[in-house]
Amino acid sequence: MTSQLFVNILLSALSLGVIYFLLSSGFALVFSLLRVSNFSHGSLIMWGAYLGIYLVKALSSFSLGLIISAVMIGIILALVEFFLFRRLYGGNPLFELLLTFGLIYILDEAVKLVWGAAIITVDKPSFLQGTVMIYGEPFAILRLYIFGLGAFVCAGLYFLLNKTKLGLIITAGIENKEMVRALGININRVFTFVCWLGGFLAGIAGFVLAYFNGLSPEMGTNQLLNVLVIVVVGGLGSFMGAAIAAVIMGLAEAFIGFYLPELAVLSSFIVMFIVLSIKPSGLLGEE
Amino acid sequence: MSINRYLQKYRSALILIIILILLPLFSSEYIKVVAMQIFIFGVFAISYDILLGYTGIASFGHAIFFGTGAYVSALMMLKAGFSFWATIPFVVVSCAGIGLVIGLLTLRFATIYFTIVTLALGQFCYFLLTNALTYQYTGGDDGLHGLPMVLQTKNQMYYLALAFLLAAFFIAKKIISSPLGKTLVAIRENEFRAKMIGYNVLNYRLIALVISGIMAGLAGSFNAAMLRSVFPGFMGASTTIDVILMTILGGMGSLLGPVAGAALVIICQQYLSSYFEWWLLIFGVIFVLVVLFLPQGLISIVYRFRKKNTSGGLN
Repeated sequence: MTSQLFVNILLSALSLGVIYFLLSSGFALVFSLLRVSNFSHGSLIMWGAYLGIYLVKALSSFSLGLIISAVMIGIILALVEFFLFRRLYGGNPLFELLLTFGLIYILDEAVKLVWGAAIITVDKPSFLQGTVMIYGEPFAILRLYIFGLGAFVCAGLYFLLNKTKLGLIITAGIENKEMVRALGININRVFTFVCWLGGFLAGIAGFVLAYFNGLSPEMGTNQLLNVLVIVVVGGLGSFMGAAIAAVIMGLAEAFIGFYLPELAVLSSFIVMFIVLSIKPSGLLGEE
Repeated sequence: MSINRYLQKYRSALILIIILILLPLFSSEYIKVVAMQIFIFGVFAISYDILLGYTGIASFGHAIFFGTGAYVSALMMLKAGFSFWATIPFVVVSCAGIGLVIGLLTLRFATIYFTIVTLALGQFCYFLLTNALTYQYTGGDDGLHGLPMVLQTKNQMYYLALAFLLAAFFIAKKIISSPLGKTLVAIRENEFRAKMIGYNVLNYRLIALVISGIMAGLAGSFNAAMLRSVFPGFMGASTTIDVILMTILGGMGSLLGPVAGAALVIICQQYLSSYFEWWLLIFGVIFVLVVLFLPQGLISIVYRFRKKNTSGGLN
């Protein structure tokens, strides 16, 4: 393999990793604070994709479509937290699991009702079309834009979690909820906010994915699987772990896809089984 | 207990069984097929309930066992010329083996690991079946067809499926009311306490998973025998989703609940899906409502109603 080709695959792999990070960050965030594994995350991603593309067309503005749809997906999850999750806190976590599982039906079927069951192709806006030359090989501008968005989200999350008071409460809550409560902080409001943020991230991820893969009513379930594999490989509850696992998944998929194209679909499972058999709690998971 | 008391206690069950025995005499072929589906998926749902309702661990890939049972039977009948009954031991062994491997890998940790890994593994198995590499063995998306008949007539198959459901029901009842079943419920209620008393939680969960897996695998191979074909969908997410729906809607933590749920879901699939495109949306809403407000499932309404009636008489 020439070094040019290698660099090209590496860049594709990394952009794939960034997409996976965007996909799984919302899930990881919600899980780390609320300890709810939100199985409807994939469906929220799908809603982000459909709604985002719809709004881009309706408002004929790319950035407005992205922001409004992401905010609205966030609101959906915040409402779900406020009206549904709250009824189940402190009980058997099995019911939270089943509840989010039931939401998959509602969200997925609603997408089919609103936009139909057919696969929809998405036209890229003109500024995302075409390629640039990097190291003598063409590289899609869309992928550069994904890098940019990923960096932006990463920086935003870093700033929020490490430099603000709210972030301090969230990280403290991840460590010890009872202590945060005992200090007189209404952590339920923080829960709702974190759910909003998780939905917001799902919305952004769905929007990006739409330009990458187009729209189909199966994308929610397919992405849920990717998300779950990534967070398990990274170690449940570990935000950093999920980010690392996302990049590893991107690398594995791009390189396995290049050498053994038949196995590309299975690449994430292969990685998962290798990691889990070596370190069953995931890369950065607590034992 | 005198025979009279016994009859009285199980009156409704006996009436139901007699109706089911007489059903083929006056029903169409179509209804018979739907009924057989209900019997077989009833067993599948019971197996799922042993895991979810009694042991308290959610598998989101239970179709792995169902599909394994179906494909092991089908492959051995078609490619190696085994009779259906001769494949049963292999189904049992392979499903028990898969259960053990998954369980040993994941059950040591929080049960959410088990849920996620089974979901991923289910998709993995589905991809494996539909992959180009395995096409010559599994028939890919088309599945395998033309399995030899197990019994001569449709009616005989119907009674076989009914007997299968009744046998599975009574075996499950025996397991649930045995010390093993009680221990499983104790672990579900309070894992920490069970551990402190000295129960080996991991072992008990493994046993439950293996029993549930074997039962689901048998349901799969009976399904293959009844349809005389297998499809990769047996292994797919839709089969898992069906069994979760059946168990939750019917009522987890009871044995009648999942069977009633199987009947409800299959009848709706057969009759409603052609009228309403959005029937799954309604099911989703009902599912969420049941999880929030009726954790014992729809059958608990019947139980509540009956309890009111009988308690009035006894007191």
